[in-house]
Amino acid sequence: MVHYWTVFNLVFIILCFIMIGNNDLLKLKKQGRCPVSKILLYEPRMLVRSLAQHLIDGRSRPLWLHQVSTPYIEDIRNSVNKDMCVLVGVGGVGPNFSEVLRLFRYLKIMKINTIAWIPSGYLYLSRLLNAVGVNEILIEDDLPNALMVTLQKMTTHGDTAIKRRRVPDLSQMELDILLQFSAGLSAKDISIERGCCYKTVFSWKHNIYTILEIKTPDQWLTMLAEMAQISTLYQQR
Amino acid sequence: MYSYYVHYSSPRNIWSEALSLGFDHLAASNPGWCWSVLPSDGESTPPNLSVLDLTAELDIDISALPGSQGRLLVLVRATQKRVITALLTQSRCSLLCVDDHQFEIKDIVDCSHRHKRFLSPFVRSLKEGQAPKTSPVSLTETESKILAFIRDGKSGVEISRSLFRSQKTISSHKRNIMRKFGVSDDLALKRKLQVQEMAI
Repeated sequence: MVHYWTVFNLVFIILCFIMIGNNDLLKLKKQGRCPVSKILLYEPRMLVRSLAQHLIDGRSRPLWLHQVSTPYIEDIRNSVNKDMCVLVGVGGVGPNFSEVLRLFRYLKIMKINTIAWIPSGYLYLSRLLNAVGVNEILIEDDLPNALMVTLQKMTTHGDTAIKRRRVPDLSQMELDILLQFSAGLSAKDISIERGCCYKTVFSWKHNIYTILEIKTPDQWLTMLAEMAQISTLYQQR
Repeated sequence: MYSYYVHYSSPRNIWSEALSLGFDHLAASNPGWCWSVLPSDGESTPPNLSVLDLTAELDIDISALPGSQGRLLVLVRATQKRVITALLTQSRCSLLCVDDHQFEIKDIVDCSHRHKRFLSPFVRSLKEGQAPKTSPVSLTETESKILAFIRDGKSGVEISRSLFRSQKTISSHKRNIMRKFGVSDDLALKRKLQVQEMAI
């Protein structure tokens, strides 16, 4: 009799494990996401690229890794799948910054996992990346540990993919307007270029303030300056 | 078997780890060459390369740099233009910008062997593109005071309240500052101030 009870208990425990595992998969499937099995790495800086590559290759569960070189950033859109995770080192993208932001938005719509790392001290850049749909934002100084933990979560539990943001994401129009502001255009210039009313641009700007939790014009300018600093990093002056 | 000794003068971080990986790759592709890290208290063997990480520094005191600058490699970021310029003009150490897209670890090793100065591509381009200093902008006492408030992120209304002047007076002073800096909007002024803080 005791023997039957032991077998019954074992079967029950195994069933529980299977159900928990399926529950995670069901959650991911409901969101249209798959567990990550491939990595697409876009990091133009040689030192960080080799470190990230070393970290990914050194994992106990190997992942298929593909690197994207700078001139072919547009190709990422054509080569991504749902079981992929796109890793981007934002600190080194330079003049491709606006393209990278648009790419993040596209990947978010396609329900593809994304991880970005930024240099420390960029408060508003982190909020902006969050608003364009980046799943996980890491600080470069913590990269060795943080990247391993995040990849572990994405490949096993899918916790990161399930995470929800409190604020709504930036729309395509809002992102375009923000990029125009960061390029130095005034609200008047933008209204002329878009053929819309001057006040409509202010309305969009107000929406961007709300989404990025910006309270004062100084915070707005600091954010634009952070964006400009990333995109003009490799210019001599 | 040739041994190359590297000494990290700063606490180990992401950049020293990445640099060590570069040396590992170089050793893997050159069978007759190996490298090792000298411990910080290792007095017996002089290092072939001493690595100093200044990526977190806003300013630098050149006199505080270690003596043998021919074998010193300083790590800097692309945003630290003031530090890079000071190191370029006032010292003989090698400079590696950690934000550089492409460079060869082999060049660093070669330069340290020949006691030559290594400059990574970004630092080199900065050196070549260095323009003569522009004449400094001269501001009046009030304009300097208002500029300090602008630097602190204060709005026109807040400045007018602090200085007991009308908003129009503050606006007029701000316009004069912008004219002197040669900028036409708030973002350009912010960038100008940011560049001024970072650059020469």
